[in-house]
Amino acid sequence: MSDKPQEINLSVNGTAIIAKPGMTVFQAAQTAGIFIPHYCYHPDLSIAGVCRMCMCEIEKNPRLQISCNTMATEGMVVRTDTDKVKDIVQSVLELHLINHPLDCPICDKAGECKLQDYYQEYGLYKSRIEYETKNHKPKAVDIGTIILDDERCILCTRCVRFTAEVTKTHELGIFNRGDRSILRTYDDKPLRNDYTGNLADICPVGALTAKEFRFKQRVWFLERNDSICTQCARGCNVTVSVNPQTTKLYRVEPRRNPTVNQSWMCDTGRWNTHYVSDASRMTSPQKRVNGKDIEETWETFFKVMSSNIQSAPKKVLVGLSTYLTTEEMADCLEVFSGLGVTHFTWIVDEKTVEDRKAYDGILKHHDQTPNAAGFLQLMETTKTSWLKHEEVIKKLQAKEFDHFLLLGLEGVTMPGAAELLIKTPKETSLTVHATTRVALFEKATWLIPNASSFEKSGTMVNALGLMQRLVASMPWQFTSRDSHGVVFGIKEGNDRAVSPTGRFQTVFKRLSDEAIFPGARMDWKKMPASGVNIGVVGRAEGIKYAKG
Amino acid sequence: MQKVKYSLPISQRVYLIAILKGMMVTGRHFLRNLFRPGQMPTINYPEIKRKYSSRFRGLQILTVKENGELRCTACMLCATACPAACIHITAAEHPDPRVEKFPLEFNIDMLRCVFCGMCEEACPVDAIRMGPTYELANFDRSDFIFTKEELVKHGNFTQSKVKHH
Repeated sequence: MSDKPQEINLSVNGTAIIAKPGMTVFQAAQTAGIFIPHYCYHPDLSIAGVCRMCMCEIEKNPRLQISCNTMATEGMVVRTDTDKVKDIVQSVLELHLINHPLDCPICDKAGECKLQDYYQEYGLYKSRIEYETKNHKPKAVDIGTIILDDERCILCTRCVRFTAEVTKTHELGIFNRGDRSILRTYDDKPLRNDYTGNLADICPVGALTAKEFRFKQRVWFLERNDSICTQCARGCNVTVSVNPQTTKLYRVEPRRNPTVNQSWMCDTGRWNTHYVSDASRMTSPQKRVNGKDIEETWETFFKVMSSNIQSAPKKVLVGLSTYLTTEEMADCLEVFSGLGVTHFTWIVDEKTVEDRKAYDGILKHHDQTPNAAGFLQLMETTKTSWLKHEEVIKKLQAKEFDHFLLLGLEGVTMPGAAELLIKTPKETSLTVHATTRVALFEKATWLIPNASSFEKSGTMVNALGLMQRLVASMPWQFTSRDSHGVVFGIKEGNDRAVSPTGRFQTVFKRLSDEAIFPGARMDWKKMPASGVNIGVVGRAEGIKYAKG
Repeated sequence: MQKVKYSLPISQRVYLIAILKGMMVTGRHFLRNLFRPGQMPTINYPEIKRKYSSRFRGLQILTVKENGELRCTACMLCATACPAACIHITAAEHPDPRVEKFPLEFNIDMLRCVFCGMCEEACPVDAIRMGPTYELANFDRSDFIFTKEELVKHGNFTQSKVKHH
């Protein structure tokens, strides 16, 4: 074997393709945009070659071969559109469907099921199987966060490989043989890894469905938006599904990005989204007077806060949550600096931010806020001084501040912010801008509702130093506002100057013009979906997990 | 705008002739109905009702299984097919694992329904049918939203012809 870099020339369906050595026929065809139907092949899992759907005809080879496990070689002539291939794909599909229960009406996968999709395209359309003769298997087996239906399973082993290769927990296996094969967890124990939601995603049929999403909504009612997860510093790429009629969030799924999250995301990020439409969500600004909460308008809040800050800006501390987008932070900095405020801080403990690796070896980070790197980037490039976590607590307890504004908190757990809130003395008037009302906010004089990260757009920088796009999937809920809206009002001192929802784009343009974001003069809308490596703060540890 | 002057002939300016003509028409009908009541086109509506075709599309019926439970599996195909978006279903997990999915709520907003019958057409399990009921008057708008209990009850627990498996 020569170690020289090589190229392999082959043709698929008459299209000449230049493939890299080590590529399979399937992958080579994919680079040329030729689609081959498949069930068991997954770009981020090993190759199993069990579903037999990706059959192709190779010249000088009498039998059909599976393209996912056949290496591309020089001069190969491959065809996937001949009658022989069509015939065999039809037969394979018939085999997969022999014992299929055909319970699409109650199957959550219906609408995005590969059995349905391929049957439309390659199916026989004339069933030769009677229902009575079908082989019956266990249905609706509870295996933890996932419901398993063995009748629907086509034994592609994607899930088995996922638990073996990605989480390395080996919970799932195929038991028995032939048409009696069933998918099961070992010893019938529930799944015990923190990435179980991915099983429902990678299952090409309805055999594994997520309990959280089960029967909630039909998939064809959902509108999908490409965004990012904001539950930790990893910033996994996700697709957010919202029903446009009810503007209710139904599902968060991972979106493939080889450098960040491959095709996965953790269960916390996926299912810890109830706060968005929960009863504890804050609905209007509230002021605490003598231990009682009084509902107030934004107008009153802006008037009071504006005069408070203007009377003694040096005694004001502004805490920027790292749940904020970089644009929101920049807007806050600009407005508050303009009013004379000099003290800024963030909510995370520096120790968690320094750790740039996923602590579980897969995706999860200690820093559970999404944009600490963006904050650092902004502060470093604009040369703004800010108080570190310990300094701020010291100063707070020395009662140096009259007012403490904590902007942009999100969710129920507030890592980092909790300590700040507890250490805030009674003498300091506290204003909290958060999505959800929690017991920690008892001391707050003002509580103002925040738009969740599903309701705002902008950019965030993850722990790997990748700047990624956050896209709003629904409008601001209730009367909540994002930080653009809040600082706009504080600056004007009234609610008349309605902040446009597209303000982030103006700020983004300013930031890229001022080269705060490298790759200057970028258009927010044209940012690549896989993110831009701005690398200044995040590059240190490189991208370890991604193998490409 | 130009003003147009109308000048009617004397025969029309005297309205009496037209009135008499109208009276004659009314009188003719009156006498005809008086002597041949069988040919009268109108009926005494609430007491006497017209017979409609058996294919008439009225208020929907939700059919039931042999055990009296709702036939519907909450697949939402009717809601998807509905051009008026009047069907609102909330699905839930059924206590019986063999049934799996059932409609916790099944509401039809009859103010929106256009009686097209697409829901009946779309249903894979013959759970919804267009019934013969056409009397849908109510005093309150909220009374036009029919729940699953009402739709089953007014259909007299019609059983589906589809075999259950």
